[in-house]
Amino acid sequence: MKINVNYYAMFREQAGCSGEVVEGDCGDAVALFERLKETHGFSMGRSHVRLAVNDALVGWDAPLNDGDQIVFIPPVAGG
Amino acid sequence: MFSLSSEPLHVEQLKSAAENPECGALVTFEGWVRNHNEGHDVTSLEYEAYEQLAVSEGNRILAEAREKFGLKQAVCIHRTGHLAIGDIAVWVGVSTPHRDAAFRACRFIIDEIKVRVPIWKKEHYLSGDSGWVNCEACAKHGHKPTADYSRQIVLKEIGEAGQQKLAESRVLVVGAGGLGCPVLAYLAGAGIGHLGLVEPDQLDASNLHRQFLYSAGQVGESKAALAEEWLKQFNPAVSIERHEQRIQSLDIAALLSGYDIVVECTDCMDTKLLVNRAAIQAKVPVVFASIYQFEGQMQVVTPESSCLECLYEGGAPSEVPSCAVAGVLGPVPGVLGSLQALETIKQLLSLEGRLENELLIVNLADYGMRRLALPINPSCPAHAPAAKLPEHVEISAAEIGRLGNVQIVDIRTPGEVAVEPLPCEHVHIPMDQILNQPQLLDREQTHLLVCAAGMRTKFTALELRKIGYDKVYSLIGGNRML
Repeated sequence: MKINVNYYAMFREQAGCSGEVVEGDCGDAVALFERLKETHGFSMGRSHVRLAVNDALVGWDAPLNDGDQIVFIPPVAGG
Repeated sequence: MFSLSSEPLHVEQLKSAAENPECGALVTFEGWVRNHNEGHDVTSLEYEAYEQLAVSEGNRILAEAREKFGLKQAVCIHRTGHLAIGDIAVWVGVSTPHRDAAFRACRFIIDEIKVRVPIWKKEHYLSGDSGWVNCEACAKHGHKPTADYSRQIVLKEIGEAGQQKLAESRVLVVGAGGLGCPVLAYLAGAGIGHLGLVEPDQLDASNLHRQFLYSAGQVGESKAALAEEWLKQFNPAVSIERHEQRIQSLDIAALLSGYDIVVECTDCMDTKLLVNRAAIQAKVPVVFASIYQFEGQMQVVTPESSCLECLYEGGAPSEVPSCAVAGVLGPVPGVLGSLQALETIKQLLSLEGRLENELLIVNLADYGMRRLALPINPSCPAHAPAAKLPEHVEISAAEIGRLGNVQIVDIRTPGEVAVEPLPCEHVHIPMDQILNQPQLLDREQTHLLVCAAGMRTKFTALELRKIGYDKVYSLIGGNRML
């Protein structure tokens, strides 16, 4: 399975890139986030973060499929 | 239409896109980059957007505003990239026929954009530092601001243990009017963990002098939704569950069983009697209050105590004068509602001095307060082993759909019918005739009785229920509701 992960704002800076492709068994979205948090040292816990899959906001229990584009969304500050 | 722009915004161009010849009001908002934030000198900032989702979410917000406020035109554009002090970061423009909706819609759009659209702001400070707004603080402290209950924890009656108990408590407030406003505000302020609220009405201008959770610009909106919004802003730590229905149309046994205590704040005797019996059966305590002009009463009904019906020897009155009829000054329900909030906290924490088998009478004309002993009345019908919930005969126009296949029966006099005929399919049988010849109605058919105000139909429906017509209902408010 291939998942395309895109980073914005603080996640982009902490990961040092604007996205990456994660291959292999990623588990569910929660496991994937926790793994990437560990890898990149994200300072923000999942309780503040929302998940988008293929440009739509979804719950953390949404299933991941091969080729999905996912984004972890930290608290926003438009305006 | 919502869009993003990496180029500076041209206000005149945007304004002409927001204009509409059918509209008498155009309200615009400009969000500017300012030179300070939370004590830091800001030199410039950057906006970063997750484009696809930002545009779809932004357009969703505009569609919601269009629906909610009847907008003819709505434009919103947000900058991305590097911005200097004094640049416009976001621009909103809306057009409506009248100004009130335009002001409210513009406010709604900018407030929603700020919390829902995936756009992030990085501030660059004079000190050379920089930071992502909202994110750093969140990562450190958590998203919700923490409430400070220190002033009440200091009380020896509360303490840390009492505060913890309040945080774990679930309180249902029935009615968000003159009594309900202070009850909800003080209980949310005290840090009750979960508040349920039941309120079916829309805000009327005549509510405002005593119902301070609402404001003049909100007339016509759902009071339950407005109260929820107010409470969430006031104390985000409290979780709120709202029911925009009359409690009669909810599964009251299931509802009550999910709460530690109920606070009854309606001015409707039928509702009080229903909550009284349902609470005795569900073994959930209730704090009742009611007011009449300058006087008020408060009573606590627990599974072991006397109840609302113990008070009335010859059966409870079916109607009490409403605030609309009797008149009311705002501070009177304000005082009684505050007492209900206090009593609720006392009950939750089993504090000294709480009411028990008593009726508290408050006379605000001369500031007299009296506690009257009220033991269980052995002939109280609500305490009888076979006590049932009161008959549910009244239906609001909004609930008619729930009755399924229903025949509407106009019971007004021929004279009344001639002046204001019903606008929908119905049969006409005057009240006297129905009471004398109930067999004119089919017992198996559901009937909704209609009169001018809902008083005659309620009486008639209750009489018919007594002789086995179980599917007869009374329309609240009379023929003008149809």
